[in-house]
Amino acid sequence: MKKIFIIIALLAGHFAYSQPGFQGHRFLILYDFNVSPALLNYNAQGEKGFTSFNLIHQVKLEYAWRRKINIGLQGSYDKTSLNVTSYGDESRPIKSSNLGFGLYAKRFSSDDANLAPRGSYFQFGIGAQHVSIYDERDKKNLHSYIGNFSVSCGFGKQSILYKRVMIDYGILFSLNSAVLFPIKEFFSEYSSSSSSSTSSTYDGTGELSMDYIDDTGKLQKQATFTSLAANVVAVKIGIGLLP
Amino acid sequence: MKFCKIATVLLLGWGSIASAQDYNDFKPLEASGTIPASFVQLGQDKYESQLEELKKEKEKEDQKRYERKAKKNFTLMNSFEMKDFIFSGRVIFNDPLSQYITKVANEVLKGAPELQGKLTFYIIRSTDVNAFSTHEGMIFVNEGILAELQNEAQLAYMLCHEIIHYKNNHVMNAYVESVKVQRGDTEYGRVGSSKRFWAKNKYSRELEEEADQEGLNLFLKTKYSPTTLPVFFDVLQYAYLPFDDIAFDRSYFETKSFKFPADFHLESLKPVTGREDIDEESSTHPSVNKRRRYIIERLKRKSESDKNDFVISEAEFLKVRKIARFDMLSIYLSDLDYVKAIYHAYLLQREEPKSLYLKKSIAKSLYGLAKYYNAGNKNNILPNYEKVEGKSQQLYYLLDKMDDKSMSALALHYCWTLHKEYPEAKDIAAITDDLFKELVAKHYESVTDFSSEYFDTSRAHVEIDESLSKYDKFNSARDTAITEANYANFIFVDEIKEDAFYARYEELTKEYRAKNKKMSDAEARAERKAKKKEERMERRRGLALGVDKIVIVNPWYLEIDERKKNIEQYVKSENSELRFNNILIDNAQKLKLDVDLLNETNVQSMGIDEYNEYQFMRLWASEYATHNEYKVKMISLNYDYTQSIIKKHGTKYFSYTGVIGAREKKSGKGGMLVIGVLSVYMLPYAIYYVATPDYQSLYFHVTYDIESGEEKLSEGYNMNAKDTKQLLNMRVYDSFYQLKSKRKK
Repeated sequence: MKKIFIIIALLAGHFAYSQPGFQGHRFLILYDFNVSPALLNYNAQGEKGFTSFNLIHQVKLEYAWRRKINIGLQGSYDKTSLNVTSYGDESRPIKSSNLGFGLYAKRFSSDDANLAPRGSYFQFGIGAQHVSIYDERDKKNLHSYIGNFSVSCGFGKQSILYKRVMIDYGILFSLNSAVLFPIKEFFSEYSSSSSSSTSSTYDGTGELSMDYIDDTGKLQKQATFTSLAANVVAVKIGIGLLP
Repeated sequence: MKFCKIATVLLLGWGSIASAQDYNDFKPLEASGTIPASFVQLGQDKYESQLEELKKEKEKEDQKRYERKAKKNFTLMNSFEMKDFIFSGRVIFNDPLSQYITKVANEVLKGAPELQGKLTFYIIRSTDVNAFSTHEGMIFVNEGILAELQNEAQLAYMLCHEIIHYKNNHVMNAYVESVKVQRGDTEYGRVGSSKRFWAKNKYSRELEEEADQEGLNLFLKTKYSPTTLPVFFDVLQYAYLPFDDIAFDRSYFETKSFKFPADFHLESLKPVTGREDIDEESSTHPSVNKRRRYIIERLKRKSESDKNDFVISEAEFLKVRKIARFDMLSIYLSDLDYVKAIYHAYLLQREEPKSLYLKKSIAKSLYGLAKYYNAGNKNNILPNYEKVEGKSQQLYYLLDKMDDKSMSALALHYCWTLHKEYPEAKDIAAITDDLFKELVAKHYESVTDFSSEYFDTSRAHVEIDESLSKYDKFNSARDTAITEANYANFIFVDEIKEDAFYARYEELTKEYRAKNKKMSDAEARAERKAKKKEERMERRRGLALGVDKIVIVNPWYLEIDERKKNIEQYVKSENSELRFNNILIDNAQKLKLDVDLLNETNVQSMGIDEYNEYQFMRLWASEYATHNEYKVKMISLNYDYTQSIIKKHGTKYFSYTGVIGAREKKSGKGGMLVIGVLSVYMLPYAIYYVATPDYQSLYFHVTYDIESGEEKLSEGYNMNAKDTKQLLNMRVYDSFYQLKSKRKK
């Protein structure tokens, strides 16, 4: 115990700053596997419910920029099903294949045990997706676009094993432009209430009739909503390498 | 705290030592020969072997379960804490003192042949009047008691006392008794904490009395005369005083030009009281008077005409005592007891008036005092003279009357005079130069601030003109007498006429003025900008010290488990320390940072030189930790030795590092489970809370430039995480990176 007091006396007021990186390794390559419940959307298998899940794959390149900050680039891939009604015998499994890309930063918490890239962190990011909507049966591409602009945040922890292997786990929340639909809807209804037009806008949440299959605007809206529902909250677990 | 623990584990007794010595250039004592096997053994190996012995004992004796457990705990604690104590920087062996003690002990053991070969004797470089034994048969004797003894017979009696402690297994018995008291399994039954303390002390006093009585029986079997044994208890009674009581003459520091004011002399000194008959109940030892009376009573019935005060050799005893007294000076310096060091050297100078070692000790003490005075720590370094008994009080009073300015001037004067006499003494040259700088920067910016003429003593008799104004009268009075305000101004009257002194002072004055000259706005702006840039770089990238090699002294590890009764986990700590050594080496290799490890866990690979370096650096660290605490920057007072180890290791950077890993006690587990059961939504969190332990880790690293005493890197991190290998890799690498890296210009 005497030693402890000596140390405390020795160290009083003397705290140096730290160099980011783990043993000199400042770059990190990560593969994250995100799982989210398919409660509001149909997953890649066209299922929905408590026992159905969306799977999102992410690849990240991170750099320990400051002692408490990592910055990174990420690419992601996920697939969902659009909610398209079929009629007759004709079933049209319409899928949305989403290739995302984005930038993010991780702020490691203030405890001294955390030094980028190791420790507990809060993450904030922005991104966009290249979406391909296609008919799985004949692989016919119905519509492609770049959109689904999103902001994400979350928290997690990165631990290092065997000096080079990184384990990353946490929870990620994400919102994309689909959240604007109800707002747009509200304004659009308000502005059109005095007009005689009866055509209503599609908010992306309901079923899409086959009649609209060629209406790319409506397809895009549903894909955006599906993406929001698939990404709104996800549990992630990842593995990485410190090259 | 640790030392206190040792004190409870070891039954403190009281308190003994030589070869050809050069008292002019005395070298502090060091261990020599082969490191004893018991020092080399890992704590856990020692524990295992002692457990085996306990098992054998268990088969022989009928013991209660808690007694066996207490003995096991004692063995565990003793195995590890003894090692910590041995490597505390103060234990030496195969030196002239311990060799002499061994000879006297062998003489004593002729009366107890069954104990021959079971005991080993070591010296503790401590000025306290004390000695103690361990249950393994190690007897430690402080230099402080050897410096006070009057003859070999007294030393022999002291050894008899300690030998009985060992023979009757007093150390372990005292521990087991304390457990019994704690449990209420004694005649006192279950009692409160103050009564428990009283009961433990009573038992301890009984053991001391037993050691006195049986020790005397053993002593009376020897060829030593018991005549002076009662005087031995005087040694204990006056243990707090220096080894002699001689009037300190303040003219010792005075010169033709430099005189202390008249009121710097204390007319009446505090008499020596002996500080006896303390409240015995609160002491682990019987009162000295009681012990003395017992000895006198026993000796009345003895006529010992054929016995002697010296059996081995009177000359060797006197030599050993003298070495102990000389060596104590370096201990006083290391313990920052500068005033005691001055008085001690003053006493020894009567015997060796030309000894350079003694003069150096006084110079270093004055230097230390000046540094502490200048840093505003006079009250922390100078004991209260009112509490000092005996004739040394005069010195304490004199130093108390001096201010930082006069102390710095006196220190420089003494050091400069010594430097002129011994220009080859590098340690004196270094501290002299540092004192020059101190004086220029803090008190006398220019040499012309000192008087170049002797104080005109005839002025002392000039009567002050009554017609002058009040203020002119005061000023005239100052000019006509040596006063507290002006006496230091006359200290360098002769030195100013010396070219070397004058030139060095002038040179430093120029340097100081150049460094502190008023800058133009543009220069000040540029400097502020550069400083901000450097600070920013430090914040972003840490320090970049450009160090290629360090020596790590005693990297240590403490594992704590707050859930356990004995929170310190000895075996785990030792294993973690071995793992930590590998982490240090591994990270150093990654950064190509050259590292020498001076470590007690790999003592097997240590040579005797490394052992001595290790012990030296342990004391150095505690000395400099105190300097840093008081913001005092001092050159090492062991300059020559410091230089030799810098040369040997090829670096002046020495690091101290360690880890405390604690598993904390988690409260409220039951409550959380109840909440989890009542509210199903809270259940996952409740399970998580109950299942996950709380950890706390503390990592520290300090690197010193041991040449200048400057702290180069100091960092400590308190982390809410388990002390995993990767966490430590992260921290160690970061510390080493800051040492190794260089900033690009």
